[in-house]
This record gives sequence, structure tokens and C-alpha cells, in this order.
Amino acid sequence: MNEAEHTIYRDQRESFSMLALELLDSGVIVINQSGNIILWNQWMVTVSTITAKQALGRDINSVFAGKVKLRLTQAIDFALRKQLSSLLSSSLNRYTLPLYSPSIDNDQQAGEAIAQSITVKPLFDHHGDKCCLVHIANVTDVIRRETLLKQQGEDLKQLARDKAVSEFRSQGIIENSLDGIISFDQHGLVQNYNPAAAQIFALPLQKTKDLSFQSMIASLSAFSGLDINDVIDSLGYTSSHVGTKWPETIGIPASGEAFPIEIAIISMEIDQRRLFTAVIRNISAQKETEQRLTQLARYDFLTGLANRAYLYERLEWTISRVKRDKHTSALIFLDLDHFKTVNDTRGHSAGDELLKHVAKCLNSVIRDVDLAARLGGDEFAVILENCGGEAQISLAIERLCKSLATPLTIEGEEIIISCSMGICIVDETVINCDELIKSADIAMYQAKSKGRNNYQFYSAEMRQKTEIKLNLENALREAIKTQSLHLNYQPIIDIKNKRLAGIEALLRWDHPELGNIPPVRFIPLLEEIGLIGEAGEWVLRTACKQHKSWHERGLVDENCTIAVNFSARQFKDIETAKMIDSILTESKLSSNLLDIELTESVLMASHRNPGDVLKELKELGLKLSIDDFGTGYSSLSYLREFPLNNLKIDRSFVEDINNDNNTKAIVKTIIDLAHNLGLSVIAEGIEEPSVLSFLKQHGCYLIQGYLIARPMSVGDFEVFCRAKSWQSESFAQSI
Amino acid sequence: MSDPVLNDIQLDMLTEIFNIGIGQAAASLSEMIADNVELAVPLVKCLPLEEASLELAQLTATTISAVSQSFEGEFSGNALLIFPQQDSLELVKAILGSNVSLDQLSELEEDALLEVGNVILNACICTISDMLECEIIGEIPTHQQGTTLQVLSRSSLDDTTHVLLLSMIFSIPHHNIKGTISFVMNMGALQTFIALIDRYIEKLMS
Repeated sequence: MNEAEHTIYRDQRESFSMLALELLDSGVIVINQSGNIILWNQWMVTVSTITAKQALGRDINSVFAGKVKLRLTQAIDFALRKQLSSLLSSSLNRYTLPLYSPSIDNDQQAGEAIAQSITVKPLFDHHGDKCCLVHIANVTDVIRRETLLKQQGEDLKQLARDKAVSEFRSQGIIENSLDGIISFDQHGLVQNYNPAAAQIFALPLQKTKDLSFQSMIASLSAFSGLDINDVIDSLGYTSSHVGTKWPETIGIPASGEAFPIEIAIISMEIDQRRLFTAVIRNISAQKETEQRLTQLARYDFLTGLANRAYLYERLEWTISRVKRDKHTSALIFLDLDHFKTVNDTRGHSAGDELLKHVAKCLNSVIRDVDLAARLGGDEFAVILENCGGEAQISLAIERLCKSLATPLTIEGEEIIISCSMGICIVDETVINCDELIKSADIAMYQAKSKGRNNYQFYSAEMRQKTEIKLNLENALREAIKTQSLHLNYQPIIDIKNKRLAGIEALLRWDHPELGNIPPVRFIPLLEEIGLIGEAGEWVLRTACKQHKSWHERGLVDENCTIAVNFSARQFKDIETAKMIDSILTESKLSSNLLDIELTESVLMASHRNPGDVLKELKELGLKLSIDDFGTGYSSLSYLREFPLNNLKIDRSFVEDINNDNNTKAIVKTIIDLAHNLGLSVIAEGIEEPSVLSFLKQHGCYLIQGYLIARPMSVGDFEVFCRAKSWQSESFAQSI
Repeated sequence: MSDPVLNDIQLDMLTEIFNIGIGQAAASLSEMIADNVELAVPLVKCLPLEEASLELAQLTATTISAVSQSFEGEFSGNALLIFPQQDSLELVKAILGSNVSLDQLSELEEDALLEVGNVILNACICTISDMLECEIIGEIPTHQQGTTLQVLSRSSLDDTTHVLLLSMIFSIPHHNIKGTISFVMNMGALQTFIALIDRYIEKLMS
């Protein structure tokens, strides 16, 4: 290298260093032998609000204020006079914080309360003149880290201290910088780089061969043919465009995998040549953490779909978009039908497979702008963005159903799934996220209650109904708690033998405000809220005890039975027979006096073999009746197979006897059928004497209805019993 | 090779030089903490490393806390300011003021100690270079902890290392803290150093 080249090289190096100094995240001041500032970097400008122009040439002592001024003056004196290095402790600064006068003309103390460690070192410029470097490192982060680690124990604290010390020791600013610093010329040819850059890009510590800067940065390599100055400028990498948040791109190392980086570039004209200095930070670790946190915070682990939290976040966005752009979007809640059965019978891994399958189906149907989420369990949600009206949403849902309907093979077995969906349209009227979710949920439950495998759009009416139902439910829970449900008793009279053949116990609910609520409304509610078992047990116990008491008091004869209705849920419960047995024992009622009434649909809905359950009940010695006969699945085969005692003709037939000849024929047939099978037949809902005479004429003598007596309270019933009106002549005449 | 042990005149001279230097440091520290700090060096010794570590342990404690600063120039070596470990805490507390809680103290201890050590050591190095008219460049201080032998060995350059021990008394109102300054130099450096002292004595005598 000749002299001229050497000078150029040195000058370049110097410019390169100077440029890099401007981008450093620490303060750098250089002072000449007379104590005047000759370098004041960008960090100093930002922190002190003293511009480089204001600072340059000033006496260093006129810039600093407070206690630090004295220490700094002494340290600078040591450096300039004796070439001794000094270190000003950050902990002392922490308690004497004001560091800089905001303006040189104004002597007031100000400046940010940040902890700083200051290093003062002697230097020689290239003329051999003494000067002094003041390096101000912001160690707030180090201290914060130390504080954090302090909580984690002494060992870790020691580590942090070592780390802090090592940062204090950092002397060569560029050499020791954690940021990669690379200089390159206008052709992108790398001139120089620091050890950090070598480490980041897996380069040898010393430059050994020609390197193209463009090939190291992904975003630049795409434009390798173009003028590099224009490219970095248009990408916003030049320092004048760089704000507090640096542009991000991808770094391509000499070997190994590409990694995310932050980049800022300064360019400068030197001897009519353009020289660039890039400061590069490897942000892989930061990105990974960010990504992992986002993943954890936003996505469901099993299916990879968004989770509930992210769905809510997105919904907020959707709502605001809808309000702004005046379009409509939709929120769909989706619940798998009978997922629990799959989980119970095939195991959890099969259940998980199924959930993943659903996630895949959802993803295959929705567009990129839409979002599918798993809310937990077998509940999913979909946001359809800007999706038009109900017709278009329905189309999308049909597609989804079709996709879900494809059979799935898990462990060699085919599973077909269906789901119930509730849809709430997101338009300008939507109030907030919570409201929206509630609405979609209501619509979904509506779909479920409509027999699953369908979808329902949410409507205001639906909400009203739901709210009424909800109120009823709460009142019902309260009623059970306060035992304000009660039983009424309706007699079944044998008109042939003029005796009280049986009594049907009927559950009644007097709502404090709504009055008498019919069983058809509250029994299904009891089933839904899962209180039917509890309520049923109470009914049975109360009825049995009551009946036993009537027997003991001679109010009813020794063969009079008590009939109690059983719901489908109760019938499904395998513990039912045991429960009945224990109540019979408890009430000391003879089992042949208890008559369990079941509807045809209860029998059919049983997932166990209904014959087995009936046999269990029969073994207890109970009587079994089919209630509402003729309205459900009137399968003749069960009449043959099941151990029944009574058939109760449905009231709809009985009420219609006078109006319709076909009904007459049906009723006649049912009576004959029962007799032929050796079963008793009971007619209920009798209000007209003419109906009674028809039944009597055709051999049905067991009668229940308003014509004889309404369901009555215990007191009224006892009065009725004592009167024994069914034995009187006038009774016989009246019917 | 002559015995590097300093004679009485040389030791007296050094004591005088160091007292001047340390006086300056005391002034700086007084200003820094706005209280009266007095420093005195009653005794200077020069010993081989192992002996020095024993002597040091007697002067201070077996386990020490040290601020170490390397220097280069006509002679090179390490300058150390040494305290018994428990005293360094007290010193820092005295410097930072009593409003600092003990909890904060351990966190600040090393950091504050570094600056105090820096001021004292710079003052000493500065006085030496002034008096002996030699160029010395001082580096940034670091903190060390361990037994006297461990700390001195870490600072030693080769096995000919000798230690110039200066016992020192650090007086701050209500506190009397004993410390020691050590200059760790190898044989070559020590010989240059002795030669420079002789030159200085000669100049004073003439």
C-alpha cells in the first residue's frame, strides 16, 4: 500500500467509524486538548437536546451540570494531561441524576433520569495530538435486568453483575459493539466490518475475500442490478428515514440459515466516492420470542386455529371495520353433535383427531380474510368477513357442512360428524363484542334444540325467547331450592266396580308472578338444566309417602295404586330402579301399588335396551303403564314384548270421540287391543258424559278427567275421598 | 541482576510521593461526596508475590475486594486498591450516604467502589508519572474478589512478579477504613521503576 492509498484507507476507516458513531445507542463525545468538544454524536443530541452545531467547539465544562460535572472534569483532566482512563459509576449517577443542561445558554439542570456509566479514555488523533473520548452508556437495561435477576437468587445476580461490569469495560466502541457494522462502496463491495458483523454473518474476523453487501441482505439481493444508493433509499434504510423503529429485513449469512435483522444505513461522499455504513442487529431471538408468545397467546395448541382470546380480538376489529365500511360480516358458532360420545367410546386421541379434522374442514372452506377459531372443547367459531346477506352466508355454511360430512376414518373406523351452528350477522347495529358472542351462542343453542345438524340465524325474537326461558330456568332452580313445586292428585275411577282404582300424581309449579306454569313448559326445562333427576326423585318420594299415608288412614282401598310419570332422562338413568326401590323401602309402600307411567317416546329414546330397564322395574313388582298411547311410535311389537300392565289412551283421541268417526274406530281398536293382550285400559281427559258413555259401551271402565275430578291438592283430594261420590247413585246417573 | 528490594531511602521517597498523590485523591473524593475525606500512606514495602499476599492478608483480610487498574508506559503493571471484603461495603455506604439502604448497597457496592478506586489509583499513577517524569497510560478499572493470593496472581504478569505494597488509611467522619494499595510489577518493570526513583532522588539531592 503506497502512501496515498494508505491515507485514503485511513480516511475511509475514519469516516466509517464516524458514521457508525452516529448510529450507536450510546453517547460519544470527543474533546480536544483544550477541552473543547470536537465530536458530539446523535445519541447525545437526542438525550441532551443540544445539537451538534451548538455543542461543537464548546468547552466541555459548560455542557455538564450537577455533581457529575466535577467528576467528569477530573476524569477528562486525567485523560488529557496524564492519559489515564476513568470510569464514572452509574450508581453514583443514579443518585445525582441531572446530567445535561437542556440548552447551553440556559444553565438550568434537566435531562432524563436514566442511569449511565461514563468511560473517559485518552486518545490520539491522526496528527498525534492528545484528545479525550467520553463514552456514555445507558445502563438502564443492565440495571433493570439485574433487578429482575436479583429476584431469582444470588447466583444469577452475580452473573448479572459480571455482565454489567463487562459492559462497563467496553472500550473500543465499534470493535466491541453488539451491533454489526459493515461499510461498503457504491458497488456494494464490502470494505470493512466489525467482529459483531463477522459473528452475525458467519464471516472470518478479518476480511479475506471480496464480499457483496447486496448478497448479504435479502431485500437488496433482489435489486442487485440497480444503483445501491437508490435501492437503500427507496427501502427506507437510510438513516434520515430511520426512526426509533428500524426497518426489518432478512440477513443471509456466509453459511447457515437466513435470519431476521434490523438495519440502518448511512451514506457519505468521500473524495467523490460514495461510502456506506450499515448497522445491523440480529433480531432472531427477539423474533422467536415474539412469535412464540404470539403463538401461545393467540392460537389453539391442538388444532392450530385461533383461540378464544384471539377471536375476541379479531371480532373487535371486525366490528369496527363493519361500522366503517358499512358492509356485513358474520360470526358463526359451531358445536359438534355428539362429540362426547366419540370421546367416551373411542378415546381422547380419536376425539383429538376429530377436532383436527374439523379444523382442517373449516380452514378449507373459509377465505384468507376469514378466521376460524376453537373456543375450547368441541366448540368452534368462524368469522366471515364482508360476506353479504343470509343467502350468501347460507351458501358458505352449506359448503362447510358438505366438507364436514365427508366421513373420517379414525383407527380403521369411519366416523361421520355433524354440527349445530348459530350465526349472528355483524352489521352496524352490533353493539359490542360480548353482545355478538352471546347472540351467536343463543342461535347455536337454538340449532341444537331443533334436533342438531342444522343452523340458525340469530334474531331478536330468539333472544326474547331465550331470555324468557332463562328467567324461567332461574325461577325453577329457585322453586326446587325452596320446594315451591307441589303435587296435585287426580283420581282414576273404575266405573264398573264403583271404586277408586288409582290416583295420578301430577307435578305443579305456581310461579309467584307468572302463576300456574303447565308441566309441558317446565318439564323440558327441568330436563335441560339437569334437575329432572332431583325433581323426579322428589315427586316419587312425596307421592309414595302420601299414598302410604292414605292407605294407613283408610282413605283409599288396599288395591288403589298411585301413578307417577317418568321422563326420558329418568328412564335413561341406570340407577333408576335402585332409586325406586329405596324410595319404596323408605315409604314402606308396597311395590304393586306403584304405577310408573312412561310415554312411547320415552321407551323409544332409551339408549339402553328398554326391555331390560322395564324388566328391572317389573322385578321390583311395579305396575307399568304406557301414557299417551297412540301418539308416539305405537309399535305393536313392544306391546307384545314388554311387561306392561296398562294402556292410557291419549287425551287427544278421547276429546275427539264425538267429532270424528275415525277417532271412534281408533279408540275402539285400542280398547280391544288392550283387552286382547290382557292389559287394562285407562281413558284420560274425559270432560263430556257422552264420551264416557261411549267408552263404557266399548268396555273401557277406568276413567280419569274433569268430568269426575280435576287434579286436586292433598286437602281437596282427601275431602273427595271421604265423600266417595263415585259410589253414589247420583254419580252413576250423572255419568 | 541486582536485588529488586528497595532500600530505605527509596521507600521513604515513595512514601512521600504517594502521600502527595493520595492527598490529591482525598481532595477529589471530599468534593465528590461533599464531606471530609483524609487519606494517608504510613508504610511502603516491596515483596515477592507470595510474601506480599501473606503480608496483605495480615494488613487487611484473607478475603479481599479489589479495584484493579492496569497501566502501560515506561514500566507496566497493575495497580490495585484493596479492602477487606466487609469494609468495602462500609466504605461504599459512607460514600453514598446513609440514606442508601443495605439492600441497595450490595447492588451499588461494586459500581461505586470502582469509581472511588479509580480516583485514588489515578491520583497515585498520576503523581508517580509526574514525579518520575515518565509516560504512563492507565486503563479502565475492574473489580476483583478472592483471597489475597488469588487476586494478586490474577494481576501478575510472570513469575518474577513483585508487589509494591502501600498500606493506607481511609478516614471519613465516623469511619476509619484501612485499605492497601498494591502495585504489581514484574522484575523488568520494577527495575525500571527503581531506576526512575534513583534518578528522582539524585535530582532532588543535586
